[in-house]
Amino acid sequence: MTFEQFTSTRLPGLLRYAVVLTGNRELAQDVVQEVLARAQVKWRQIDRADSPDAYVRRMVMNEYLSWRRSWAVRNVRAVGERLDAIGDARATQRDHAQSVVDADDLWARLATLPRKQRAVLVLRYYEQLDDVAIADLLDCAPATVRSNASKALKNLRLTSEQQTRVQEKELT
Amino acid sequence: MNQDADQLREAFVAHEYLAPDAAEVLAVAHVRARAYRRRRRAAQGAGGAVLGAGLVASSVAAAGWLPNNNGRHGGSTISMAAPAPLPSPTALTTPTPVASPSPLTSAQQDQALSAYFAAGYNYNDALALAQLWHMTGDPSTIKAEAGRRLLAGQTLPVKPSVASVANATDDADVNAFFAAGYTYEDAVGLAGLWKISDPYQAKIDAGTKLLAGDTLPIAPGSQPTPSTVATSSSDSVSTADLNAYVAAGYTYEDALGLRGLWKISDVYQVKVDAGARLLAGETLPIAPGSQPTPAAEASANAVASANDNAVNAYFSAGYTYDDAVTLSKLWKISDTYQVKIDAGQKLLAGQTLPIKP
Repeated sequence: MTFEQFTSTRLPGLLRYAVVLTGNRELAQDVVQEVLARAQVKWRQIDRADSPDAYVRRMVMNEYLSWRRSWAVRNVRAVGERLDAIGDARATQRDHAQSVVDADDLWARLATLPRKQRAVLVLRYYEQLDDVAIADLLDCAPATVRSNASKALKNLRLTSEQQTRVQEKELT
Repeated sequence: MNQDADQLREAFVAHEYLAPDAAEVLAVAHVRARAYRRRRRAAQGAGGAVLGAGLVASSVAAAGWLPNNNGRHGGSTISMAAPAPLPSPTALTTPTPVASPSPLTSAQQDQALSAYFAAGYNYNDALALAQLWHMTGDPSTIKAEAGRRLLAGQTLPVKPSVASVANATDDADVNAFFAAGYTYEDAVGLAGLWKISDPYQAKIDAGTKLLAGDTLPIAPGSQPTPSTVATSSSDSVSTADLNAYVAAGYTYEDALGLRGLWKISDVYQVKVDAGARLLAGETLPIAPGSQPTPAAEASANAVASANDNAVNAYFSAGYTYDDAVTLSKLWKISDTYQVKIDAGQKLLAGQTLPIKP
């Protein structure tokens, strides 16, 4: 498979994966651009792998996890702003499209997670990988994967409860 | 647990639409790959190991990577971002004050963004610029403004994260290639003929030959345009393939099974490929609906769910990671995660732990 054949068939899926992984369109774009640039240069090596697709996805994951911390700091502020917007939207649109609002709400809360916790959730629930495969991908023990998943789910629930409390306080 | 899984999957899938434009991503990736190859060649030419990244960076700075009004950097790199010849950047070179950015047309914005990425800047750089310029809002606007300044021959206050090293020889070769009427598809065809994996290298080699007066083995524009990435037509094909997959009675679990067989990570792509094969009259290696959720997986999910509940009970009771470490020593269990599970199960069973939260 040439690099061109790879991108013509796999790039849309890779971009979907990247945006779900990063939670940010701009960052997904930058991560995939960077990965594809490096993949193109060493494509012969990648093409010899059992699955070039899995190889490139691993590159995307590593790129995301090693991305500069400054992005995360700025992004948390952006998410906070976005949570407010979602709160407003929820008040006015509760009667319809509730599932869409819920998905948006959860998406916003996912953005508050540390990157590794988010990565575990994406790999487990979006990529449908088992914990052993995730551990291999993230170069850690399966117990660490379970620990990260557990913490992530706990954080998501806590954020949801805090948000609900804030909204209730505002209503009263 | 299963509810969590469903909600998370729904949230992920519902936001797939945010995926960036594939053609734009690919164009920038080509430009960056070009910069990497140049750095690699420069490093090899200068003695490889001796020339480290720092030297490359300093050589970039010394060369003055930023374009001047009379420079060719912006135009030439943009032409590599998209195979088709682009308008001359002189349309945007008016050196006007840029304290308050004027609105750009869509075409100007595309050109400015191309210049921005071609110069080696990325998203993080846009954030840094936004702080320096006290700009807020969509990062694309900041990138476009930065690209506009680059095209106007100005210097940005931050260095690019991806250094782009100008190489006049390569530019001349590639320009000769395109000037002769050849296209990106021709470069792919030549790469196949010459057994070069990289079409960009094929452009350089072809340009060198053209400048030397040689003729190429294929005529300009003779190679057919391959199916483009993420076009509306390919989308409709994907939809047809997906419909065929579902209509044949295949399920999401079947796609997971096929994924393992075909070694494709993307489940969506598996469905599309499977649907295409079905439409072509082929049979798939597994029968429709033959991959129910394995009992083992359900069992594992149940165990994981119980574990999650136990860990949640542990934290809800006010215990911390440090407490788990203390308990691990008391109970002689090395895995602190397992300690949290055990402790949580005891708490859920109404028992007390040997230490206070």
